Amino acid sequence: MNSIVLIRLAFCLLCLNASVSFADVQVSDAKIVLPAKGSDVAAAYGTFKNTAANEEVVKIKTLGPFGAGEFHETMSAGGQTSMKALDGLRIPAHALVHLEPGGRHLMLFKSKRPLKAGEKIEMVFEADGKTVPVKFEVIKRANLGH
Amino acid sequence: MNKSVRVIGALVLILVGVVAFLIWNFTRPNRMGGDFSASFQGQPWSFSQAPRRVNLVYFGFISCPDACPLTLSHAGDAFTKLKATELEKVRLIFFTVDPHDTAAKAAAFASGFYKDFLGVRGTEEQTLKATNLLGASFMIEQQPKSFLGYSVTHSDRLFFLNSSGEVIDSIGQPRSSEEILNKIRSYL
Repeated sequence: MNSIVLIRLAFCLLCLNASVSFADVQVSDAKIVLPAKGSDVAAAYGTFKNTAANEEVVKIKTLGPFGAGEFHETMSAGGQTSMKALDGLRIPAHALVHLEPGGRHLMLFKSKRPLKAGEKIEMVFEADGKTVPVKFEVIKRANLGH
Repeated sequence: MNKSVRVIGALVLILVGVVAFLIWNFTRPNRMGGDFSASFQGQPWSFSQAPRRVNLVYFGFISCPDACPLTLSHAGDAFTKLKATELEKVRLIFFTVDPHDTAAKAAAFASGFYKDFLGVRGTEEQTLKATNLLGASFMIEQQPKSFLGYSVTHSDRLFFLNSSGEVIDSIGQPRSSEEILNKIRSYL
């Protein structure tokens, strides 16, 4: 009886684990930089890894305290800088995409509450129908290490 | 005789002076710049009110989460390394080109990177004049699909002005506090 319960429990745990770790996109070094004074726009950075054999397109599902968010790309040409909103974050097969200052980043708007350095904020992404929960650490810009 | 020599000598000196001035005037670099105005914390502000020996100017906008904060944070790092006697001779002006920004927000935004940075906002006419004088540019484009509803393209260049408002130098894509610091010190 006990062994049957244990087997069932192990099977459930395996299934639960599978739903998380079988996502083909993994995110590391996830950070949100506190908005500058006078601004309600924050930028998030991190490394997105695609372990699948096909391209993945990461979309935003939930944004924690933020009212809106978009993947953006900063582009520089001819001494000008501009940003382009991206329709999801495309990651080639078996590749890494770094969200970093001066390049692609996650732009976050209108936080419903003040953010504090050191706190963790969970946001959820979606890739190929699978959810990818990510905990971002809120940091001061001085600690970004740019 | 002596009087004639003195007159001729004086005339020669004047002539040499005029020729030297003309040579200097025609060969000096044609610098951009000049006086420009905006609003600072709700009050009229102009560059010529209290210029320093070295004046840094950056055009950007507050909702910019990337290039503008990067530049201003590097500039802030550079300013923290300056001595008190050097700080008296230098200032930084952040000029927002985004009409959605307020003067109060521009001031708060700039001072967040270094307490004495000035954040100013101009009318459309003032902003166009300032950017034209310094050789900068900007463009606001509608982007209905984005959250902001618009995008801002702007010069990513830190301008260095002398006390007359003339552009004496600049750094494109200013992403090094050392480079900013060294350039400031080279003009102090």
